[in-house]
Amino acid sequence: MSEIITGLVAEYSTTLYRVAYSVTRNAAEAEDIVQETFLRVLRHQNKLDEIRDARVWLVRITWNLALDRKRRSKTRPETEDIADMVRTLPAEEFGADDMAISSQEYGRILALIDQLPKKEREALLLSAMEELSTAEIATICSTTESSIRSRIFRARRELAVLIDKQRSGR
Amino acid sequence: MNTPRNASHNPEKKIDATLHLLGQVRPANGFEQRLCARLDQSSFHARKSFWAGTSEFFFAQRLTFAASAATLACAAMIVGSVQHSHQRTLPNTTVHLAAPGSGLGAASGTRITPQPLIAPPHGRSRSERKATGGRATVQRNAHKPAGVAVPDSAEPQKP
Repeated sequence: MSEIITGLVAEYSTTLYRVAYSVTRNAAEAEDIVQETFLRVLRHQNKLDEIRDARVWLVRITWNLALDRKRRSKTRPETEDIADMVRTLPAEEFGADDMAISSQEYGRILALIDQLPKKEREALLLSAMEELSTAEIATICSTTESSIRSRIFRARRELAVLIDKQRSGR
Repeated sequence: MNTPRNASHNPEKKIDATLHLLGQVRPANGFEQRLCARLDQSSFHARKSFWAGTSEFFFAQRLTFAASAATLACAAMIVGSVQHSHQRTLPNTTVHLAAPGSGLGAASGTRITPQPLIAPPHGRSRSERKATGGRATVQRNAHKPAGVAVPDSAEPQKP
């Protein structure tokens, strides 16, 4: 394996894992997707010089692989429960004083995000990655920045409605 | 499981908190090392399978390759032989003159004798004929076998 690939793994593997996990919500699948991403990079490593922004390029590969895998496993029931999801988070996150959410709520809201329309859901999930700017999200989704902003706005509004509905239904 | 520390029911805050947590997800310890190890293994297997596949292909197809090589060799020999013979018989469009006295040369080669032929002093060549008006004539004093009659005049009668 070349030093370039090793450098890319060191720099971007965690970001790619987050991107894959945001779609699959399964740690093992997210790891597989990141591995598949770097295998593709290995296969096309002679083209690395032509890549302008390696981060966006890698995130795009991971994103498409994750969506593809999610599409194929749609009929399969989710295996990862809330406890497993919480395990993937840093230990201090749920213990922070300013946290406004419990692990159960976290799981419930993630389930509600899955009910959003495809474009809005994808924009919202990518916006959760602090490493990605709106312009980069627009490149990954092959659209404009303004479109991404409006998708995120719509997604948040619809998600808030769903949360309220769920709360009033309980 | 933790219990909510903040009892706020503001959906916006919950959404922000959820997205913040989603953006903070970390892979299990040693993920990078596992990834590098898997990639190393995959690239090694890819190289190995390439060479193994190549050698297996050549081994399995050895009869085909041998037959092809033999056919090619035969074709090369035939083409070479034909080309060689063409060079000897049809070198170019000019008249081929065999080297005088060498005794070598193709049967069809044009030959020019080194010395011009000299006509015999008495006699004539066999192809020389004297004809009048396109008709053959026999001289009166010509030697003829006994019993052969010669007309008085071989000249055609003039009107």
